Amino acid sequence: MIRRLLRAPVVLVLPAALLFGACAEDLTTADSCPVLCPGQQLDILDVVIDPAIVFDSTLRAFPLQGYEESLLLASRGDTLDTRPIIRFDTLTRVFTPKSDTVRPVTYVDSATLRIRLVKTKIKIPRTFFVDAYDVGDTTRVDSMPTNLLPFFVAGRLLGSLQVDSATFIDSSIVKIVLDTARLRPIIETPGRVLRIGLRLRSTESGAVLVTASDDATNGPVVRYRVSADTAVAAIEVRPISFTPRVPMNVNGDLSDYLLIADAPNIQAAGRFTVGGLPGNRTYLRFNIPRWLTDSTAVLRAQLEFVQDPVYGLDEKDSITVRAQVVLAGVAITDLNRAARLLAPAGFFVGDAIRVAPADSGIVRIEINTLLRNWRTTLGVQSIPSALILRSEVEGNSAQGVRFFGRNAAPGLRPRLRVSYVPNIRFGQP
Amino acid sequence: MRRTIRFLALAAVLPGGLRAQGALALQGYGYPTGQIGSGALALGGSTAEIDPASALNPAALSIPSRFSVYMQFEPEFRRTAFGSQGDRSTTIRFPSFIVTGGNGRYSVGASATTFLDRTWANVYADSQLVGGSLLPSTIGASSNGAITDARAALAYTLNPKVQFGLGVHALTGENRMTFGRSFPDSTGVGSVTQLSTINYSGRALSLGVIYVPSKTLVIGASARLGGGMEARQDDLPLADAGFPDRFGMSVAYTGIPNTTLAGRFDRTGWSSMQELGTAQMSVFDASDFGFGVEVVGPRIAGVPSYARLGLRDRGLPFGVNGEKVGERSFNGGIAIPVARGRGQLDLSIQRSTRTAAGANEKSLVVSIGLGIRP
Repeated sequence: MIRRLLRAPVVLVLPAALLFGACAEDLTTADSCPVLCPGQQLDILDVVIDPAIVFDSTLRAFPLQGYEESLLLASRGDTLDTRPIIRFDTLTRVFTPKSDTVRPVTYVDSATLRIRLVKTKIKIPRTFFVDAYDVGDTTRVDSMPTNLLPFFVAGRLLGSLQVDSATFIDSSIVKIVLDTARLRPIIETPGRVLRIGLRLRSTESGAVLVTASDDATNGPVVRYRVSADTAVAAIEVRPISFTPRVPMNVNGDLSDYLLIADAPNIQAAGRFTVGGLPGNRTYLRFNIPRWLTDSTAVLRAQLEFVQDPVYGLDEKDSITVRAQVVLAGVAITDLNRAARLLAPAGFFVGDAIRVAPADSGIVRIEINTLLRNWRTTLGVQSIPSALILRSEVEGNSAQGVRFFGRNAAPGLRPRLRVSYVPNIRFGQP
Repeated sequence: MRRTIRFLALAAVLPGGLRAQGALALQGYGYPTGQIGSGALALGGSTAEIDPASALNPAALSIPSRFSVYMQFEPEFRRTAFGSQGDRSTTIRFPSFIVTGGNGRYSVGASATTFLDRTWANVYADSQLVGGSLLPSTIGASSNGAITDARAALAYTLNPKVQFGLGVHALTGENRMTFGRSFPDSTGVGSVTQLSTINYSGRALSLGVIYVPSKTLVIGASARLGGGMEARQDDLPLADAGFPDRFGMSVAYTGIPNTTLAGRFDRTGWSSMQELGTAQMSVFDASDFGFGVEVVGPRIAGVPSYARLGLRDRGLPFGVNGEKVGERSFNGGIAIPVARGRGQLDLSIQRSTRTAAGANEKSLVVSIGLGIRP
């Protein structure tokens, strides 16, 4: 009997060994800390780098003329007046009737300009008109406002569309009927161009966006019939520009662009500005101590600006200001060009500032990921120490914000507030 | 009630001087496994000085029943209670690997045994002042690795009653540490993790003797004379100290048929490691008492199996807030022969209770040893 009892555990040895051998390690403890887990204090230190910026500059006219993603058609009393220009430098001047030979166009009918209107934050006026003017004159540098504005006169009106807020549908495509009597001589004359300037007319303040020609589906199209015979298909013409010829390859960008007839000036001495029309970008260059970038772990880095209020247009409506890292190296000395060679928004700097133009006080933007990436390797910094501040509605809104620059008083100039952990030797009990 | 008061008082004082890692057993440079084989462990460590599977007494290598290869697997299941709070954790260890051989009166052996195991991980929440704001955060800290005692030993059988042994020890091993703090995304504060590695080196000499004064009595004793010990952190010198001296003695009585009674005393001068830690590390010399009884069980393939019971009481080297940690254990186990006696499987269990500074820790160590004698 005793021998049997003694045999029982022997039989259990192997299963027990397998059971414990298969158990998983679980090292993590929590509840007994921090009482039983000392030596785990991680001192976080704070430092203010002031001045953090060694150079700042406001750069104008962004996006570049012709690069607008959409064209602001606005009339805000005597404050803002913007007019999209659309170039149709190639017109179809011959056609082939059915079962016939090619012949020149001598008949123009049912001409329309098709555009898409997109709502902005501005309330749609109860009634407004979109007037289309013939602004074609290749003898002038017609991207210059002073040269083009004289063409927005009744004698050059090609057509007009009345829009009511009650029937307005956001992002809808509308057709402006063009005066064929004015259009025919343009089409019939070889070498003449059709350039249309749009203007918003209303007794109220109003602004809409016109989808640019980059959008092949919803971009502007001129359509006209060249025969009374409905079996002959109507002609459709899309924007194209032949000028300027010098410098090369710029003409394609100017198929459509924004003409700013009037816009508030938000710039001021000793400040840098973001937004407005033409759009402003701010270029900021930093000089961060090496000990901070190379010998610490940055937990938080807040770039602080003191905002200087801008009163006027939509002063209470917020806009988003983003910081983007300049990727241009030292070889690029043209700041305007450097301000276009940027890391995509959200790379290195995920944070953004949401402010209204009339706001004042301190605003902060987190750049801790960027500061960590500004560390040097073998003395080389792979990412330039420069940032661009830009408005998210750049080119589509006249709103802009202003901050005190690096030469302002110590309490007003930009500074960098950093919380960091110095490298420690952890582990000695 | 007194325990609660002690806990609250300790919590108010800490964190300050402690260098412990979430469990009483894992203070300082870690948990001393004892370098005892599974079979001796089942006997409360009482036969460790006459056990060739325990890397303590080099003279034990000349015992005829030694294995050529011995390896050990030893998971520990632990619950640490502090007031009403408690943590469970499991540590897997492979604390011993021994190879031996012999020719005539001489036996040689090489072993790698865990001297101090420092493997743990903590993840817990706290708050941290960042830029003037108190923010919630999570601390993550971990250590992996151990200090290993590598020993080369030689034993000589003077006559059937007296055996001598000499061992040369080299300390080696490393602790790979991570330590960091993370914050919720909503705070906009990044996380930080620092990595660090501490390497160890050291040397010692051990001498041992086994004496059989009669057919019913076996006495084993050994001493380790510590040399220098050095810790380097990330390839930079961290600290120098002394490898702890040790003396131990086992007495086994076999006068009762099929039964062995054994007792052991061991004293280790852990305080020589004091210089290896910061001023906050508390380290104590510790004694280890063990008693055990082994009875012969049924024969398997003509080879006897064994059943074992033991008691053990010892101090751990590293304290909590200056207070020594004590460990009391109840042990048991069996040994069964395998491969017609060419191998042996030892299974032992050690149920331990550790107490110090208002904390209470219960541990179950399962030790599985496999000895092979080709």
